[in-house]
Amino acid sequence: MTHSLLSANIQMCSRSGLLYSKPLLCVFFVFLFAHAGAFSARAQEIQPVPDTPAAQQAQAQAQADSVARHFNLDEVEVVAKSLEKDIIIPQKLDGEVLEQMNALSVADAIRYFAGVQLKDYGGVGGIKTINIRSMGTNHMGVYYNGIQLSNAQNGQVDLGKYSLENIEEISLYNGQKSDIFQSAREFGSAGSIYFTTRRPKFKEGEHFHIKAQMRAGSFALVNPSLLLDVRLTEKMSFSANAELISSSGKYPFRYRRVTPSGELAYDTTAIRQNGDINAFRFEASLNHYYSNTGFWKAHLYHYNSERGVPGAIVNNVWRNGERLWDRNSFAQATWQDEFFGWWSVKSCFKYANDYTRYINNDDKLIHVENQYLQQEVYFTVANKFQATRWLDFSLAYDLQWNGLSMYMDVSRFTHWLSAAAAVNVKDYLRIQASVLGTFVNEEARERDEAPNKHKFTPGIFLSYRPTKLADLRINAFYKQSYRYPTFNDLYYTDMGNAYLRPELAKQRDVGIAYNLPFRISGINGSQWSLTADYYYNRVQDKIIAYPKGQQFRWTMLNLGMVKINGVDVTTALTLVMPHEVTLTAKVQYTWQTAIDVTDPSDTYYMHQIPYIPWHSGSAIVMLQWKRYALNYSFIYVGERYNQQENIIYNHTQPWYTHDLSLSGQWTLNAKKIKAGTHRTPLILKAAIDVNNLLAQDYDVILNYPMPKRNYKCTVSIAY
Amino acid sequence: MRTLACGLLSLSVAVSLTSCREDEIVVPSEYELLPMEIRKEADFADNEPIGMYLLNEGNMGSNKASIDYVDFCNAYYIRSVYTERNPNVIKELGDVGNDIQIYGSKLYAVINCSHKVEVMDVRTCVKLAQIEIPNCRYIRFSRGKAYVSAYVGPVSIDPNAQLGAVYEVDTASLQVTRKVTVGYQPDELEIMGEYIYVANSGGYRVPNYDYTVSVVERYGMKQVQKIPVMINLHRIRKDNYGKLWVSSRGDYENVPSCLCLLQRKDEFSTDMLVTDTLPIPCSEMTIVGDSMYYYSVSWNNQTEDNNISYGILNVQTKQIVTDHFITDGTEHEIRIPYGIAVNPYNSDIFVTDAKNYVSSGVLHCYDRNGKKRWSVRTGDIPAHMVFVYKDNAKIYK
Repeated sequence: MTHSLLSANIQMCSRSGLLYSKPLLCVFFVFLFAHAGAFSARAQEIQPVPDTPAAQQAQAQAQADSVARHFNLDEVEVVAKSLEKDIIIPQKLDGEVLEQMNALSVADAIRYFAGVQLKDYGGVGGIKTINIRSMGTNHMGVYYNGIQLSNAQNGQVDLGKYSLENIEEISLYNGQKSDIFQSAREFGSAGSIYFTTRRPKFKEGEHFHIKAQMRAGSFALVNPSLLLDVRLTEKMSFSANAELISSSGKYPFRYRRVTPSGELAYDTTAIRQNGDINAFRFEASLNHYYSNTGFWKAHLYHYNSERGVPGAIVNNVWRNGERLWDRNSFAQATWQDEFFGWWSVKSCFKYANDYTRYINNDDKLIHVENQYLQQEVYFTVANKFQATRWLDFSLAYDLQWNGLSMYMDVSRFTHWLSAAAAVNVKDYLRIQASVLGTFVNEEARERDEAPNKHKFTPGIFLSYRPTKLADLRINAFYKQSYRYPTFNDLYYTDMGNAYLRPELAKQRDVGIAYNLPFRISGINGSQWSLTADYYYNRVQDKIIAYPKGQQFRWTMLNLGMVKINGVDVTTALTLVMPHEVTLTAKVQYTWQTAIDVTDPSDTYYMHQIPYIPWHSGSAIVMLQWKRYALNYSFIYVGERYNQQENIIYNHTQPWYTHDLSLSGQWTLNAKKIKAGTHRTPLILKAAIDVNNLLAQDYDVILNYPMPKRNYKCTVSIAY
Repeated sequence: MRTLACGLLSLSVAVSLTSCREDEIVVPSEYELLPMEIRKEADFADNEPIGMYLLNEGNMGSNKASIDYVDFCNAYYIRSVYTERNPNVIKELGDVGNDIQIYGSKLYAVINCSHKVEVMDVRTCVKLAQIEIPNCRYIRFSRGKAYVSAYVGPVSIDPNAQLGAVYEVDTASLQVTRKVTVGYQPDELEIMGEYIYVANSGGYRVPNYDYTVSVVERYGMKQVQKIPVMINLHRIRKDNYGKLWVSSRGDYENVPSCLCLLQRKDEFSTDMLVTDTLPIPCSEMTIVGDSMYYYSVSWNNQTEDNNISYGILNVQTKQIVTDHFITDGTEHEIRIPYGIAVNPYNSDIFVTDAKNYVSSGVLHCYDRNGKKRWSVRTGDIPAHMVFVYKDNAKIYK
């Protein structure tokens, strides 16, 4: 489908005659068409490669080939053994776009996805959580290299803690990843986000890569990082990556108010205090692709931080005294192989150990010190059976143990069992159906016993392609998922309710995806894509805090009900122009109503739930010329309310920020590479970023002011 | 190309649907008419309230403490009168209002998480000053001085044993003059004769609650005694017979909430001791003449619901006169009663409903027979009320 466009790209690259010294341009072009399935397997060194052995093989072969053959599309398509059974195309950020963002944490990148609301408490150290399609943070599954990150205590993953430095790809799936070959647990979230870390890639004759990067910026940000990739054997590689982040978090913010008659009421600028952070991250991984079908990987993650909790800015309080120490470590391993050509098996293991210490040092407040230790052991085994060329089955079993100690002593065992089938009817119709059984065994050792729970949840996904003449697909899905009460929901001092039931989310979605390569005179290649989805979600038995007894006491109850209607539209356009100029634009827009229908006697009955804007959107425009890139990004979050009632006292204004980044890269040993004496390029990269260009003063969360205009500067050298 | 044009068109429509940021307006006030007779201020008796201030606590961290005003003369309700009269105060009234009182011609609002007592002119609600008191809770007055209880006293060596304090403020200079350390996390206080009685809660020391009333000798500002009463004390009010009524919150599990009575040991002694404990899980109370109006809320784990009763206790006989002073069946409209006040002139009863603490509440007005007169929407967590008179200096001495 993208043949014409592809050839245009090849021509352009060939004309330049310096393909290797300018991989940037081609790679960047390629990323856009990751939709086209096997296309990404054609990628070069920098381009992410899907973790399938088939793609591996394709790449290895492609690399051995000449430059011309490298782009031979037919050769790549041959490796697809069975029919493609993926259904819903995820929203994806990868490659050059992700790199151009120059963002610190993954949370900054996720803001560009449709249907997503990010809660951001501001600054480098501020908590950042994600909510998809208004169903609540706890319905979101966050996966790091295919294994879920979890927090059994409060169910929320602070994405601000995960650095973008080592991430190669972020994909967001509504419903679930539309690949039946996955762990049982992955069928359980209402929405899933996958972070894939960089994987070392070596050209023939290369033995190691090293990259050093230094980033500095406003608010005393210092962020050095170091990366080392080693090729141990032909098929085995090792990668290590370390990073330090330090920032004073002292950013200026401004509150300005006028009276209804337009006179200035007050205008004050202050410096955010106690928002400092010192964090260290270390990751190491070992990959072994021992055969055409099998591989194993091991990954080690360690994160250690101390930060101030800047707190809410309220009258007469400009500084808080809360401090937080986090130590998150996990080790995980994955093994996958295929036998007899029809049976694929994958197994993962993970152990996580998360320690948190919180103190409140404010001498105006009661001194508080709490420590929490969370541990997790996880094991999964997933099987896929290819019954015929058009039919696959899968069976998976997962087991997880979560324990919380120090603050309270509780634990639980969870078992997941899933069965799924995927059908591809002559490439016109693809169907996936899955059923997941979840069994939770609660084991409170201190307080009252919570009852065990078990639930079955179905999901069905359809994709229909009316004609092979156009790359048009009509998708639909229906899915149920449960959010299980967290340890805090069940056992938190006085407030917890051991008898909580899981919260149910039902999703219905219908959408289209369309790809159109087209030609305009004077332009070498162009491509336009559009996806649009309408969805209707219902969250029932929603776990909410309910006032209990006397004087400001709460309990958790299954009381809430929310109905969500929304439309997500994303569109992308690429124009490959003469003189090595490429223009890429990605725009997404979300319209959403999420209304509270819990109780007609509530004053907020039928009102939009807090912090959900009716309109939101983002745009990324990237202009590349030779080895320089200019990136502009814009985010818009419309008006919304900060509490349940949609009244003037809770109204929050829209906010929108413009970010700009300029970068360039230079191959320092270009001549030697041309001459053939050097194989590995020595690349120097530099980038300058300006965020919140118009210095808008805004709060994402009420009373948590966000930084005004700020700058970042990045220099890296890679060999 | 046509699809591209369509795409761009739909996009531009989407963009035009959305709106831009405007100048942020300081929290606006709202006026609402109440179904009351409009009367001239001159027609009000000296001891008849002409209005009532209501302090909305606002949820912690929301900075939504606000003051509303019920105008009995012009029969309207002003929502957020403070921001209307003081638009220039940065970040408005503050975070978590905890008490509102009048003394002389001044209105005092204790703003707990903003660590201050806001002092305003009682007739205009215009700010006069603010007094910095960390973690302040309740305020009472006597002989030209204000006494404010505060959870955090002077920094102690052991951070786990932070005692609370009572601050003395001169009501003319509006400066803190003296302070005294009392028990753990002191809540309400009451002044009788030469002594200040402070109900200590120890609410942050679960399960080692405080259980005492601190007695502070006013002249020397010294804690002279600690009377053991019951765990987790909250309210303390005096009646016309020199008795003190103290409420205990219990431990929310095994020890129920109750009401304790403190009386002098004998006619000649100033020593107070517990003479009676009534099993009334009273959350808030107000004493008018011999009647103590109260409400009680207790949680029933089985039904997952609150049991609420609205009662009147005769403070002289200690007998419950009624356990449902709302007589017309409208008490079901109240989800969580959070404040009570009784107009001493006409015995109108005001009860506030805090709903779920994170949405606006309701102020209900009932006549002396317990029939609802009107209801009005308030700010978040309406809780504390104080009446305004023609000549406040005459009434509040």
